[in-house]
Amino acid sequence: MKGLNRSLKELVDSRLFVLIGLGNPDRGDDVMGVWVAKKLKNLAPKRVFEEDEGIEGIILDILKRGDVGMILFLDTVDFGGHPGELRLFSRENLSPSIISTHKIPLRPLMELLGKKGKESYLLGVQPRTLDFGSEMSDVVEEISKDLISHLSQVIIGKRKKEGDGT
Amino acid sequence: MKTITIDSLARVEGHGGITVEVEDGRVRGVRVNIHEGPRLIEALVVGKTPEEDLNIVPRICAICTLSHKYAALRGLEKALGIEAPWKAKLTRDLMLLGEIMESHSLHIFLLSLPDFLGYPSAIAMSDRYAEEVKRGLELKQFAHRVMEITSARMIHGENPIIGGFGRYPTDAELSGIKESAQELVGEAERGIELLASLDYPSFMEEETVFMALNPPDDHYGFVGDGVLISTGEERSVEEYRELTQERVVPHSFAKRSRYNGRSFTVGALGRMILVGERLTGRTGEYFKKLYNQRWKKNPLFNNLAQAIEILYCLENIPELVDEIVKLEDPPIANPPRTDGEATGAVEAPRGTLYHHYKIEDGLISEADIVTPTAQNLDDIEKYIGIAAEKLISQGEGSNLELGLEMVARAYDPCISCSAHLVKVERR
Repeated sequence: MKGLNRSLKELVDSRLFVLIGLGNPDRGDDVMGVWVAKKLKNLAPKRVFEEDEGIEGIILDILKRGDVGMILFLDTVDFGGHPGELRLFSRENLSPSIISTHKIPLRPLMELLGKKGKESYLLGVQPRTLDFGSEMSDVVEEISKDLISHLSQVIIGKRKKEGDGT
Repeated sequence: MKTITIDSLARVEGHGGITVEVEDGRVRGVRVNIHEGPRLIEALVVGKTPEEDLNIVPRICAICTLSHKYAALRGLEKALGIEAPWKAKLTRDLMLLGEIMESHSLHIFLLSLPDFLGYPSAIAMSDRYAEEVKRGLELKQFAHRVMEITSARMIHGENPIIGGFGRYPTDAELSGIKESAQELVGEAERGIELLASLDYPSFMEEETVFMALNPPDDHYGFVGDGVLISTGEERSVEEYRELTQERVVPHSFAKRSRYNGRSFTVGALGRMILVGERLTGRTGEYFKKLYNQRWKKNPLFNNLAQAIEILYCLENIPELVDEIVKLEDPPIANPPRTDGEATGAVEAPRGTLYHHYKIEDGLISEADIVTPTAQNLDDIEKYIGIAAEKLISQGEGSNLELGLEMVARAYDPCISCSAHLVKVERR
């Protein structure tokens, strides 16, 4: 995680970022994004969101905000890696033709944000299990805790620096 | 950073895909495969009370959650001899308009439109499409608000109950959504204009059978007790088994439907074809201007039909609100009996949704639910087969997957998370 830690750190350190946790809590490791967001929410309620809050409202709000430079989506992504492996994707890495009748596809959202001067990235964690009704696997939970620790330090650091009480 | 394509995101609501077998330039088979494991909801509700059923069946689908709630309410109340108060009926209609709008906005602006604008093959999205995405989000956000106000939650709301509502929306909440609906009419009209300006390819055209509920009083709408068929017949929803003639196929967990041996289509396109002439106001004007005979042959027009239905919802929400605020909150209607059997149906975003129940001693002893996607699957396979033959014969093999995906996507099928919805196996 060290290499990624560095690029992730550069991203979140250099920008006023917002984190959006995505996923389905009933599908094993797919809970990861919302689990991490839930743990960080109290630290920065205006900068951390969960999918259940309504993704369209979150994005429309971000478009109006001048204090957001970067959006980090957090989700489990099957990219063929080892369970628990992290990978950072820019919008160009995502297929525009991903089909989901139930979810807003990420690529158009990231493109829209980009057109409005807001950079966005998807931080993906390779899942071990997505079985309905299963628990988050140990390996994904471990990486999630690392993420929470890392991101909470960044958020607390920014709060101290900016004094904005995010 | 190395560029890769993610084949599937792990945000799974359903698994599926479509396989087309091509041998020596001829289509040998089309299979719509639903891999999503059976969830056995119909068995799960047996032995439960009608109230418990109402909390379980909306979990069938997070997009059509309120359609399932409303169809179940109609079936259960009919079985128990309950006449829901008029205010409850109007408020349920309002919540269904929210759900129809929410689903259509996502489908049109974020899922289908990229195909027509050439976005999937483009490296970056055009400015034009960026504005459409924003429009889709605004319409969807409003629709979610309607669902939330009426059902008490954005998804799986528990406010609509047997015999009425746990809590009716306040006048202030209703006035708010009336005002927002009026403000969004222009956005919906611009959406229709855009959809109407697109080039609809003809490579799959062939007539089919359509079905839709017949709303009462010669109105357009999403609720009714009769089923109109494009063959000229009308049947009762109680005859849903003869109308859908469900069967299982070996390659899919989802059941299939046929009517008198023929595949058929339900959804916005079917509603427009069968009852579109009843539309009034700006919606009616757009229908008269845009509707033509190609709609009966080309499923891609389902996108345009959905865009017109978004405007219909926005025009009708203020009217419904005006009627609802005039009425006092009525008491919850109690069931006069504990036994009965009946079918309820509503038009869900993707088409007619049936819920059939048998209740004995206050507990459900039989449940049967027929979803719109299950009804559409045979026609999806049919149209993909026609499209594949045509595209191959026209030498457009390189565009084959995209062309076939456009057909499948037009139906807005409930099989999510397939990066490549259509897989072509060439031999």
